[in-house]
Amino acid sequence: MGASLLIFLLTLLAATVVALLRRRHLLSSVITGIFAAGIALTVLYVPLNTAISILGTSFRINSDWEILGRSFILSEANRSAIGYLYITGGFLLTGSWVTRPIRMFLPLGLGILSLVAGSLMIVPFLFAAIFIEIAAIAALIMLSSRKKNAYSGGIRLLIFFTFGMMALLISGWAVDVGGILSDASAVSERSLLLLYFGFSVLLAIPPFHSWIPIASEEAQPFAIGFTVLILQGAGLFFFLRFMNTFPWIWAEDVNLSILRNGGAVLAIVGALWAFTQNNVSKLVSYAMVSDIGVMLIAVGFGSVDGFRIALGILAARVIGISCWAIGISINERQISHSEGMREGQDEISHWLPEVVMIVGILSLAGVPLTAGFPSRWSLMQLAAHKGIWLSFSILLSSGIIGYAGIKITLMHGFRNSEHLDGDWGLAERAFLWGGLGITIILGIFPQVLFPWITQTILGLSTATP
Amino acid sequence: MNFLAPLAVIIVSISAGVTVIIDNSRVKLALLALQYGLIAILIDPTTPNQLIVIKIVTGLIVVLVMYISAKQKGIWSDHENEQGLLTGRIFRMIAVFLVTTSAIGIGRSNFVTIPGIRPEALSAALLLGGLGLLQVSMFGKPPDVAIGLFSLLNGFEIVYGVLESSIAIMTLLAVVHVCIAVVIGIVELDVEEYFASGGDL
Repeated sequence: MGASLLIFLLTLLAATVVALLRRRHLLSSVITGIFAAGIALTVLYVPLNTAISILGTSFRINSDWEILGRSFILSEANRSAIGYLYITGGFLLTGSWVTRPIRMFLPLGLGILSLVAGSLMIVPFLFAAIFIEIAAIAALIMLSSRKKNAYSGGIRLLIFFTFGMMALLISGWAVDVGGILSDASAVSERSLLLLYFGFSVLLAIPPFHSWIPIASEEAQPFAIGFTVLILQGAGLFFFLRFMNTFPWIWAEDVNLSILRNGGAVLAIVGALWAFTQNNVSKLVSYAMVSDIGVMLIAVGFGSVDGFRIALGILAARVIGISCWAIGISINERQISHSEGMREGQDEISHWLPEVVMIVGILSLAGVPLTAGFPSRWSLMQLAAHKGIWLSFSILLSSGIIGYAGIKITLMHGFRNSEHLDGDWGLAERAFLWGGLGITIILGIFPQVLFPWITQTILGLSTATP
Repeated sequence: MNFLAPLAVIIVSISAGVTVIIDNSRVKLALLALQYGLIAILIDPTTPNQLIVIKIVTGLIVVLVMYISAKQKGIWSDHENEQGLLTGRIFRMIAVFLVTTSAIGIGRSNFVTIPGIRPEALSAALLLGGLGLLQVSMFGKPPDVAIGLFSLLNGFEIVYGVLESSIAIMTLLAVVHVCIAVVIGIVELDVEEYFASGGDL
């Protein structure tokens, strides 16, 4: 049996079980987490192309699986990335229980994870664009299910990703033809422009970011968080594979310089956009845009160190965005609950969701003592060799977003902090405290996270399917 | 069927243009079905027959899904353009005219050179791409946007089918068409009905 087929079948099984149990939120979330962790462990540790004997039955898992003339290959080049994807995705999907998402959120989320995994395994890898497009189509349901006619952000996502897919397929063909010649000059400027366009869409670089703020107002916080994290993560992995496969494009420093300086501008512009918002969700959406700018700076170094830092930021934002989503979801529930109460009754509010929310935003900003800080600090040190401008842009974006996050929380939050417990139970408390704890622990002890990232990046850089 | 290609280009451009101008959903879907049928003629003659079959079957499924969801939703009435005459049909007619002439102009110039593609196929691709883009940018309702995306994708596939004639890829692209149709149906149908019945997601 092919390893990729096994991954798809396990995910399908998980999605079916979770879909059948969709009315039982907690149980289905726990099952999703168990399946996601199980698939991640299978991907990371199953021996490939070797006979395995379990309970007297011998079988063999092949690294490649062929269908309709194309192959899906699980190899050392991508297994860490896929494992990473399932663990982060599983973490987000399990945590989504607190926010009471739509009932099909978990099966859809698992489906999206398998599509993104498919995008990492397909050979030739340029066809990954189609898998990411299908994942974006599935995400449209998640983004459009909160209230009536709330589909603008999702529709815009669909349009952008369709354009991106077409651009990447055409430019991929052109670059492939150029690659046969092993000559960078054979790739026309038009192809490179299409390439930049395609990756700009996948990474939600302005002006293709506009679906995020719109969707952040329409969709559930966890739905927008999951969509952005998984689709941008898929885009980043795709981009790294592209850089690895066609190194001659990046041999010219001008292309890397465009990435670094463009990323720096984006980090600052995104932070300034975030600063002007009066809505927490929109602030976070622009903080995500700024964050991708910081990631581009890291990728723009074109080195293993840069890639490692970019993946570190990607991993840290999972923690930050989860905290924000959990905090704001419980906070919104408290507000709607207190609005429905009669006059004279005690309003229900608690400081914990608001604290978790602000810690999530601060982590996204890369403020010290949060999970987002170590990667940004490493990047500032790396960037210092290329001039003060890049380090300054990272520092400035962190400062602006951190300040804006604290300001907006003080404006809108902590209004009833003297009151007692909200209408949430032990499990929700556990999620809130857990999110808070993980953010701070990873901020103080980043070595917990980084060995894994190093393994992922080694996989990405040592072999090319 | 090579001799039919110029005629197919003309019909495709008219159908895509009319789709932008009119408001009647039934006619739009009929024109979309026609578009899928004509694409089969415009795809490169050297393309394997399976790909043409995939394209036609995809078109049938897409139109069927869109038809069923639209019928259940009850949007078959000839709803008039709500934005007034000037910004409505006449504006769209002018826009269609401009895009069509631009696409023909670009097709006749050397700006786009793709090896191995027939001139009429390139013209059809540019026309479908331009008019699909126009449809996507002028409408906000999911089914209208979806029809624009289908035109855009059909135009793209005429060109891409020449460059990459793999059955796997054309199947994946067909899956993209079907997924868009299904998801648009869900977004338009289930959620609204669910809320109408007082549900809370």
